[in-house]
Amino acid sequence: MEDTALVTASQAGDLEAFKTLFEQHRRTVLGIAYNYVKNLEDAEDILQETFIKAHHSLHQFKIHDQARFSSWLYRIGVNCSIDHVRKQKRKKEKISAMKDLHQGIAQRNPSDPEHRRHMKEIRQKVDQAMTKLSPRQRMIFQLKHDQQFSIKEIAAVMECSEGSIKKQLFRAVGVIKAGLKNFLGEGRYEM
Amino acid sequence: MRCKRYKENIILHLYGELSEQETVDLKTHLSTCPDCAREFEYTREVFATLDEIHPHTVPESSTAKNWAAVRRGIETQHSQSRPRSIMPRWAFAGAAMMLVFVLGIFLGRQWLSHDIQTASRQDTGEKYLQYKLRQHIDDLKPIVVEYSNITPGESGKDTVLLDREAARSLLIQNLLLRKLLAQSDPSAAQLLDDVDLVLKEIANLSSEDTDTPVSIQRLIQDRDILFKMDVLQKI
Repeated sequence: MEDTALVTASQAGDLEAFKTLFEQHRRTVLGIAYNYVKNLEDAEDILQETFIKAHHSLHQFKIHDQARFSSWLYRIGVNCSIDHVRKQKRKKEKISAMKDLHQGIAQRNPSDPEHRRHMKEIRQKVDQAMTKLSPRQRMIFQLKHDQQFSIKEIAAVMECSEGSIKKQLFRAVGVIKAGLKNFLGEGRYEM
Repeated sequence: MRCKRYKENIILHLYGELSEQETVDLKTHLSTCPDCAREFEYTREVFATLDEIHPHTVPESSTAKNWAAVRRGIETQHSQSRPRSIMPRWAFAGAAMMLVFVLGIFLGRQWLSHDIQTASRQDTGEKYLQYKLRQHIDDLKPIVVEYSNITPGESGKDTVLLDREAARSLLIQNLLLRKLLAQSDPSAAQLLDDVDLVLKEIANLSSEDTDTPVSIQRLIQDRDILFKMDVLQKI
């Protein structure tokens, strides 16, 4: 069943139709949230919040518009993720937000302590570089790099032009590359 | 300037965002520009490293658990939003203001009525005292007038006895009124002080004493007791 029919049924109060929408888009929304907050528990909270907000605002979504339901839904997910991290920052729990991911990486290379140490340093540099990006730039980078959204899809989700998305993506990649220049390729690259 | 555009296209190429023609152009440039070729290699290594440290795979999570939470959230929103549509927030605020207003009126009236009652009690007390004062003056007047107009040696033995009894009974009433009027009516209290002296003289009078009635007469006249009694009776 297509999104359009499911959305129409959901708008009419059919909760089963909304459940089907949830099942179809759950993984993408969870992916957006997880790649942004790096913590499954928080990502699940964002996933739930996204769908609750979407259901609450469903009457505002105009099915005849050119906008796709998925872009509208992912936009809610993006905003929930950015808001969540802002709240986390206020609570000074930023460090623990990276814990799950770091543990996952450590478990993937248990037999090579040297490699693990090197990767740990790189992760720290990437994390440092990420803090230099605005929440919007960081989200654009992660939608592209982790979620593998197209530039066009990101533009629809973030509600701006493709040119603007490219510009912010170049800026994000540039900052990360600059942060890693002394750690990769034994310093053979001149920037 | 051209290299800057190619460096940006390296990123787009690695993300699969370039068209076939743009990809051909980039590859041609990389084969002739060592700087951009190094940039290409480095960007590719950075992307591979990012993929390694930030895996794209998202951990498994329970669909049923998350849907149950979403459903609970939706139902909570419904239960919270329904009463709001029936009874908007401003209605609660209005009702609260009305309650405060009614309570204010009720308490205000209670307070005012308490004041009115207190005032009426105070008024009644004062009026009662003035009434008793006028009665007392009525009782005093005959004896005061008698001694005011007395002729030396005229009062007989029987008259003195009657005046003495009358003065003694009036002394107690005079003393009580004097105490009650001390705060509210100082002029009446002053008159009752003078009357007190007169009554005491009469209460101690003996039938053989001919000088004391004259001294009482002088006291009444000196202190204008009759005049003051007339004034207080007319107020």
